[in-house]
Amino acid sequence: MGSERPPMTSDGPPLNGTADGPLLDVRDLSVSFATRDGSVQAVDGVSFELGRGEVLAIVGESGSGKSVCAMTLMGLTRGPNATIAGRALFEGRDLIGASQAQLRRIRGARLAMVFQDPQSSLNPVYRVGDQIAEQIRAHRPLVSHGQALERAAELMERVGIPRAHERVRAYPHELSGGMRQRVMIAMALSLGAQVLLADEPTTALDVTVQAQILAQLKQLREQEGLSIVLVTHDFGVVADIADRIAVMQAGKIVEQGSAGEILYEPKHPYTRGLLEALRPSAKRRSTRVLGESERTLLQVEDLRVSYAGRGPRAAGVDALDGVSLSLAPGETLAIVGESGCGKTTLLRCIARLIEPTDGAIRLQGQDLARAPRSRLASLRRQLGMVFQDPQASLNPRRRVGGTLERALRARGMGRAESQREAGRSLARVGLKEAYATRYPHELSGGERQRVGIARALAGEPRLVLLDEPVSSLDASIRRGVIELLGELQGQLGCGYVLVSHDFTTVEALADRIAVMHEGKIVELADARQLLDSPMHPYTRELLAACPRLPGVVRSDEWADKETLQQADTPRTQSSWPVDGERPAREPLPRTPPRSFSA
Amino acid sequence: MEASSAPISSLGGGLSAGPDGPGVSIGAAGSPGRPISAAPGRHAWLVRFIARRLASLVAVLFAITVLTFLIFQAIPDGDPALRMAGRLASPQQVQQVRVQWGFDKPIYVQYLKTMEKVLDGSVISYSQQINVEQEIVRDLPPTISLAIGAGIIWLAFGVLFGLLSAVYAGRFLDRALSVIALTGISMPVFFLGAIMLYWLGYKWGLLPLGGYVPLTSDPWGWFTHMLMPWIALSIVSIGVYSRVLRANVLDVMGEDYVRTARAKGLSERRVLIRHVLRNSLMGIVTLWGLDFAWVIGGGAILVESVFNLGGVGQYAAQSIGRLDVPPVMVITMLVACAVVVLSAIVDVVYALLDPRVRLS
Repeated sequence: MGSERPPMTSDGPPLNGTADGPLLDVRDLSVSFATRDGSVQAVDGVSFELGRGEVLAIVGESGSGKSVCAMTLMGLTRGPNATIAGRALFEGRDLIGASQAQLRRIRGARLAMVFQDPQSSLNPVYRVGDQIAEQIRAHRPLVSHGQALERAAELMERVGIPRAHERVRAYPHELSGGMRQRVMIAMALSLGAQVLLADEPTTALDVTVQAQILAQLKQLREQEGLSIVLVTHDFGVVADIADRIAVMQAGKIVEQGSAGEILYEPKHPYTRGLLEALRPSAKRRSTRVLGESERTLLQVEDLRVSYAGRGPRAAGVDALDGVSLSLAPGETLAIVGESGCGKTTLLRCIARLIEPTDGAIRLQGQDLARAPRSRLASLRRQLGMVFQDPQASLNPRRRVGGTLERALRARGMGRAESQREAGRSLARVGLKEAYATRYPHELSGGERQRVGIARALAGEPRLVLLDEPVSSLDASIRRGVIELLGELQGQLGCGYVLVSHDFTTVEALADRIAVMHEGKIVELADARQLLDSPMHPYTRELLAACPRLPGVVRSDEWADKETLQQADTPRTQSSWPVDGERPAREPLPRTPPRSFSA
Repeated sequence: MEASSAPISSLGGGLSAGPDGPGVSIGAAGSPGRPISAAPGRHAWLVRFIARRLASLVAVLFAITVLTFLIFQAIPDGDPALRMAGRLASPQQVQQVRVQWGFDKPIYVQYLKTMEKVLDGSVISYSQQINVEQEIVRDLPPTISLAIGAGIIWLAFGVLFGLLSAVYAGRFLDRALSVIALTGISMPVFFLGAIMLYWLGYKWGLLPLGGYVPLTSDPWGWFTHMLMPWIALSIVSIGVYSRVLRANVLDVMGEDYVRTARAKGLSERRVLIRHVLRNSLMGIVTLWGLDFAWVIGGGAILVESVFNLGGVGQYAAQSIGRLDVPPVMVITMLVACAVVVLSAIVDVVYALLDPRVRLS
């Protein structure tokens, strides 16, 4: 693995600068914030150690205090409202008691951080090379800007950015998400930091990119002896890379141990619950084998959405490039793919929130694609839609009951009837009728999404479009919402079109799965068949990149994954050529017509 | 995604350097029209950007002149022939004036005639029968002096107070500045001007009592004469700008990239100036361009009148009083043109500040 390369710490002090013992030793760390409603204990007596070259994963759900923990170590928990207690020894210095000036010298140079969203974590108005150079020069004032830029290019190349010498001049928006995160990693390591705090470093990325970034971190650990604190909510990510795992709940570490212990013999019920939530539901409905003629609820034929390019030289973009699919009543079709593949466009197009350029959308025989605008409202009554973020998709100024009543009246119900029906809708999604008088901010995330589902099902539409319905929810809540969706389908017999990037969700709900790539469906098959024996190389790659618990992954898949991570250039291992050349124009391998409806 | 020129093996012995999702990764997208490193094409975007803006400028200016012309046609009791012929004119005399000035022609002919006059500088005012454009050119220096000086003052102090307010948000300095800003915003210019004239000019004799001295003939005199108008005009804007900037700065301070900047170990001053302030200035630039254009086009009528600067605004005020259509129309067109030109300049500055704007 490129062993002749000098270690990344070349211009920092030598690797073994301190005596034995942990590199980072955190004891009884507590952070509380004073709020209007009294003090909130975000971190409550957390202790852990991090050895050289070790990867410690801190796992917890949102609000468990795991991010606050990392921020506090960086000295980024600011403001007069925060009270910090405890001790965090790093290279013999206490980070908690250190002054801002002392911390500033450590920050970025010895202890570095990578954040969740590389898009918002880079300043949009500066070139990425300049942003890396800025950090180098902040700690090494004698280095010229030109030298720092040179070094930035080297670093970017080392974290796997091709043509790094050109890309130092790129602005963040000109790079893909994975490239941006690589820039963040290059920046974090630009001065030979010993410890990398990675706060959900792959959460905002696609699965295949996530696998690459994790492989990169692993490689840095092996080659440069980097120690990593990986903060994440995703056990799948952890299983791959962590040596030790600490599970956090409500500010406390409830369980801590080696990765094997935690993953295979979890002792604390909370840990067990989290792990359990990751395994696919045992309760899979037996899928009937349906003929094409039965799939009459929804028929999409050769749907196209093109955006004309601006300017004479710009080529147009095909967001959807001839998509065909069909759906039977009571059936669930999942659409999977990476961001930008057109899956959300397809879903919105079916509801005609986006105008199709060409093609037909037949909902119970009526063509939605060519219906005049005046008829859209009545046609849309037959479909409901659940959105990704329930917080953003519920009107914050309207009570839950009001929201539901409005949805019901939009489907043609009278005032009194809709009031009665709103209570019933709430009961159907497992909420008390008293919730009707509450505002969305008074509900938890899971409850909000239940309201979103109740709204979508108002008036019992035949078709429900689900756009990432659980991806903004914590793992322990997801399970409940997924089960609810399954139950409701059983009761009402409506068809679901589900868009998701998460295979656990897909596996639990889908009868059939369509894999989308660059605006096309590259494979469409029965869920079991597609997951067990994917035909198209892209599907295989997507499945291989998907982080899972070892216990869930079948052995052949696991082997694939190992090669992906250990190989120097993992892409040469996959069936695709290197560096962005995706075989978009290659003819697709023909899957059996039985399962491929395109 | 067709061409990828550099083979990956040439780049460092094989780190994982695969394609990275379907995002717009530069080289891989193979768009030759968007240079990143090539030096010759570096400012090509700027030329294209300005060319596009100029093209739309012409169209907008045409639309503005048509609209302005039509608005002045629709003014009630605005029949220019009646007005010009005098109060005791007979219908025949009115008709004679109408024919003589071309008011009997179809409206598009009148528009073209008017525009012809506007363009060759021969618009004559109805009431005094003097050349409007010569009058405006004579009145421009005080107005431009006012706009530039006041523009600099309100921008500088607005940014300074806004930044201080945001940095000390919630503390005494912030509260004090916000009281001052609100006082400034709610202070009418005619009141403030009168107070200043009385104390600074009349009682203490520190500054001259209004009027305008050309910069070329007496720079110090120009400065002392402009000082009070500048301050009077700036006070309101300083209040508004500092409030807007304070809000922007507080927003930007919550951005992830500011957190990144701190995590890099930058000094707080550098974080503030390089990362927070630059990104906070975007909204201010737009605001400033429009306000500046408004003053250039004679918008500061009150200040010009209170201090008797004899600028475009004062001329507009007098013409409106006489319901003298030609000067008012020409000044309206001037304001509109100033706004359009300035907002084009603002767009260019905006693109310089934010590279993301350059794409569209």
